[in-house]
Amino acid sequence: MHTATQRCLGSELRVFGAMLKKEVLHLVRYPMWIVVAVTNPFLYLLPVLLLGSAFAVRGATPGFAAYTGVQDYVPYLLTGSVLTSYLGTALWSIGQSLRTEMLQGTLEQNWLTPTHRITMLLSRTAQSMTRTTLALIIVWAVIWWLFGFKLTANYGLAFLIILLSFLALVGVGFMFAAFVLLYKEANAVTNMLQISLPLLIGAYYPVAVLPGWLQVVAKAIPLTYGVDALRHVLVGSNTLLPLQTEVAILAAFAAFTAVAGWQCFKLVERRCRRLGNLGQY
Amino acid sequence: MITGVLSVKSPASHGRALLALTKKGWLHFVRYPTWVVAMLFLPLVFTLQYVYVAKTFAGPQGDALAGFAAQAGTADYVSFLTIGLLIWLHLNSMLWDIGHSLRMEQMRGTLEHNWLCPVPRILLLIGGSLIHVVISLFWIALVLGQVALLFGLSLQGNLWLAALIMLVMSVAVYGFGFCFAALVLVHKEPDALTNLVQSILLVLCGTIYPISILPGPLQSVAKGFPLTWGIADLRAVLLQGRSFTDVSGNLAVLAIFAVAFPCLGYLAFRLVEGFVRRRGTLSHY
Repeated sequence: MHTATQRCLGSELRVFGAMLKKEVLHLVRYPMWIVVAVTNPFLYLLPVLLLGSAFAVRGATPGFAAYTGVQDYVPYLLTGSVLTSYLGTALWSIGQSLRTEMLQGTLEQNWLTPTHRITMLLSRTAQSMTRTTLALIIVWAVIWWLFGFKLTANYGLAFLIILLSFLALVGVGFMFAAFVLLYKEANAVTNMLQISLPLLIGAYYPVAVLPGWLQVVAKAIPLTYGVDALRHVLVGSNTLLPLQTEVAILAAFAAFTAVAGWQCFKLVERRCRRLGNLGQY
Repeated sequence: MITGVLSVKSPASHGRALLALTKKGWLHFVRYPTWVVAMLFLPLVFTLQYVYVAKTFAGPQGDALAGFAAQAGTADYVSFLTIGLLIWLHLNSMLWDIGHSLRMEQMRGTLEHNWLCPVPRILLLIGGSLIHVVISLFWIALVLGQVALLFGLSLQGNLWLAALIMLVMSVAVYGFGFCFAALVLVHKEPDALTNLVQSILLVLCGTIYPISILPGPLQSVAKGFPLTWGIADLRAVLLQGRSFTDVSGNLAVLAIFAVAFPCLGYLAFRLVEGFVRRRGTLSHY
């Protein structure tokens, strides 16, 4: 018979379920967040799509085609929105929920429970990632209805690339949670990463558009190859490297961030517990 | 006999309260240095993102610039986008700070205590966000310099007229911010609402494209926001060198917004404040 303090897979799953329920209840308590989750990706993408029509010459976008090798800019931009949406969710959902608990004064109490930290962190992001996925499905459907587009897709490979990027981003989320424990107020850095990374990885344009020195930076970020590969698979755009190489780089990055992110979090958490400043803000 | 006790309200005491609130905002801002660093780069990075999208649409040889010039009245898409985005960011900052400063005090449990002070509520709202308006004006100048260095900006026209347009538009948006603060008192969670309003303004107000490319009904809706008029006026003055006479019609519309929005906003805020005080939910979150 298991007591409340004995850890086993079943107890971890129960905690995961309870935390997920808490996150869902919190979301439902502020229904405006549900509206925002669905409308925001759409409302951020729409201006970029409309900017495209401001450059149209007799219904065509010759400049865009010359840079990307793709005539239709709508699915090209939509593909970029997939990774940027997950990136935003990974950054905000794990670290920021820790910050919220610091402010509300419940972090230390939760930390005292005999729950594995991975369960604590993953349960925070599960609700957000599901919400983002549903929002993306709705956004793609609405954009398809409004603008119409065709995909030249290998859906299995596209799913693999999204999955690898997703794993890599969860690892980044762990690192970011460590940053929140260390520096407390992370909104500024979250904003900075959320806005800078799409710029650097060429989420909405080919890396070739960037100046030379920024192209070097872009090519050093593995997520660049994730966006590039996904775009190639879904819309047939030109790639920076052969597709297999891009997928291999992404897979290696996902494995690295998952391990490094977790180790980083454990290290920082131990330090905060030694200093006794876990719940401080 | 004591004449100047703390609870006697006077213009001087209000001035001191405003100063104290502004100082508190400044101390809070510099207490988290990551925000200071972010403020130096974020607006530039945000602007560059759209500039590079526009560069992609323009093409390596500028193949599509003629199309853009026909719609926007200028082929200089960098200046066109920079003006729109900086004004949008500045006004967002105002909107965000008014609602968010209330929300933070709800979370920290200090809202009711501040509300008990003999200071007009409107002053508490303005004081909570004033320092951020000043900071925001600083980074507008900074980003203009950064973009000029990277791409070369071709701004011309009367800078005093541009400043006047900014001032009138800011007053109107402050009024909009009061309505927003009222919503925070009732609705509690302002971040979601702020996100939604920001995104809608980005789509509707011609921030990165001329509103003429929007469908007819949306163009009519766009004209209901002071931001649309302000951005159009600033582009006319700074990119096309238009004079006061040329933009006086639009400026008059902005002035109407600048009178109507603060009055309506203040009225809405007082109504809602009375309501939440009666229900005792002022500090609930």
